[in-house]
Amino acid sequence: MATLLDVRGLSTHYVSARGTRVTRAVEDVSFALDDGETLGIVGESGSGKSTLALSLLRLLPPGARTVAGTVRFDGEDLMRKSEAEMRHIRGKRIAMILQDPMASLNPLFTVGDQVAEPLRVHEGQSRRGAWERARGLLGAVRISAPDMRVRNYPHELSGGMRQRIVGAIAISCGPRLLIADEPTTSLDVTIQAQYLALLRDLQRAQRLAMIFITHNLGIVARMCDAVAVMYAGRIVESGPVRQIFNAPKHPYTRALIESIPRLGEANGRLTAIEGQPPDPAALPEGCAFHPRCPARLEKCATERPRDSIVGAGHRTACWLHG
Amino acid sequence: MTPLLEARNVVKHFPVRRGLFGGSDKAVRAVDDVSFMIEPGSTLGLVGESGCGKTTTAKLVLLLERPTAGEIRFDGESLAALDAEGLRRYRHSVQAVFQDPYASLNPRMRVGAIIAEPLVTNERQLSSAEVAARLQKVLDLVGLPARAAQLFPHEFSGGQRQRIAIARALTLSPRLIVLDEPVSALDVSIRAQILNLLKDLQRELGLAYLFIAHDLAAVAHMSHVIAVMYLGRVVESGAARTVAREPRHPYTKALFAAALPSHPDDSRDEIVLAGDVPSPLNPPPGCRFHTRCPHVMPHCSTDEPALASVDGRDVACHLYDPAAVSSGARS
Repeated sequence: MATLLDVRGLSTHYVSARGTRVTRAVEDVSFALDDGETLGIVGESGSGKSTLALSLLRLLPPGARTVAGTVRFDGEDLMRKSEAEMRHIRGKRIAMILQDPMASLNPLFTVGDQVAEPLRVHEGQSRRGAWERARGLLGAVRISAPDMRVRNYPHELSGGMRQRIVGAIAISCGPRLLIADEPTTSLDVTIQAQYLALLRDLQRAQRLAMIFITHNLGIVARMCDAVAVMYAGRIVESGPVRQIFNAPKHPYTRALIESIPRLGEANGRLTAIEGQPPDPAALPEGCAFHPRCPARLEKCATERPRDSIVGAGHRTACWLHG
Repeated sequence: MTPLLEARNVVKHFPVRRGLFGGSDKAVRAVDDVSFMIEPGSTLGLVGESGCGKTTTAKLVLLLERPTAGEIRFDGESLAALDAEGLRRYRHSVQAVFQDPYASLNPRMRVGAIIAEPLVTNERQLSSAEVAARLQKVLDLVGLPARAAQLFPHEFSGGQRQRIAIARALTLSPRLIVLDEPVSALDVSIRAQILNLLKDLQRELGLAYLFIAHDLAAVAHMSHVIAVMYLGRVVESGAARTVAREPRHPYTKALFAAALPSHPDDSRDEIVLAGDVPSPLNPPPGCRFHTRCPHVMPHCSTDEPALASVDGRDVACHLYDPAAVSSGARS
């Protein structure tokens, strides 16, 4: 299968207003994604996973800058595109779904207008034609009575429906890649299951590649082919999902998997990770995880481990495997 | 053994006003005829989706709301019958820890003052030395260093703040703590720390918990008994392991099937429910779940099923009516 997205050595830093404090939110991140593949990027708050997603689309807030690295999408380097060219890529070839559907939708426009907008902007369709497509798209995201719903405003819909509308907007121009940043965090359990099933069906029907940005390993287990675990701005382990769940190599990945309660298992103690995630503006020397690591070696506190290959497509940055 | 807390047929309706002078002919039926028991030293887990009434139930237990009908009994005594002194004692015995430790701690108070405040306001006869000793004891219990008392909440991370909130709940030596989504605002790696702490405290102090969370695996892990709520009603309740491993009510089945797997090879039957939860303003007639139920039968939309014992737990579903069972409708 062809490589759709190839990210190499990407670093994005936040610089304070006076230029005195630099936060290395994303540091030297590399990964690749094939056509139709689903990658989960897992990390806790402050791990840099959302900044990474925004870096790929070049939607960084003021104060943040990508200082190194290449992002090759379909053979072209997105970092070298002009702003006008990027506007043609965003929403058309790469779409994004964010956590809060109410914040992604404009409360003053009808659902139909918002689903039709990318079609009119990117494909120059007429208002009538775009609205016709919008009705079809609402049906595709399983909204009942689409003829009525196109005329609704976002506040008239439930949270699950709003997030499906956002999904309809995302797929409207037939993108190759969909980036979903915590798409189901604000939804109830059964609505979350509905939405994930919908995304999976859309992905199969359209051969979409997807990147799931999440803190939830359960979403990765259900949805993803591959996973990259981020800690303090770096990918500490990546590989095929089954391999990572069955034989995690990095102590952080292992602890993360073991710290989650499992349904239907005897309720003994959970394996907790001591301490807390580091402040991204003041990272520890050496391996950023060493102050919390149960298996740390002496050199972990001084030397940063390099990526090493520990299996087919499975890499980790840890001195235990270096 | 008398249960520590018992809810008997508790109802809470919130009237909805139409216009300025409109009568309150409609009501949100947030909690509708709910009964449960919490034994001393044990945990009741309450699960359900938004609008199912679990937070209203917590408020009723905390006396932040009064029931429209039914009664809550604590230690065998009805709360409605308690005098001022009895209510004061009840409020000592029942404490709460909420979801967001950023919102629940006063940013202008030092942590020591936050934790000691319930003692200072409720037990005025205590000397400052006694208060300090109690403060030290609860800091120890939740695993915070003594110097934490001198700091402000913003100097702590989310997990540490939740420890502070738990310490404050412990100062009056309660017997029951209402835990409303106590870990959902925390980072994944911190959640296990707090869940372990809560279990340790329960064992050491004999605390009972009313644990409310939408993370089913966490509820199943923490609870002795689980009650599943849907639109203000309990649809299934029983021993946590029984309910989590072999759910019987179609809603419980769907809820647990929808829970995310902990491993890619966890292949549970996927039951994807259609539609959204109906409005509690106008719940469907008959069984409230019938509009989304994959096993719906004609009489489900007219007859409301009552909780009845099925395979060692209580279920409110017509699939388990004796007639339906014998005709083989049960799946």
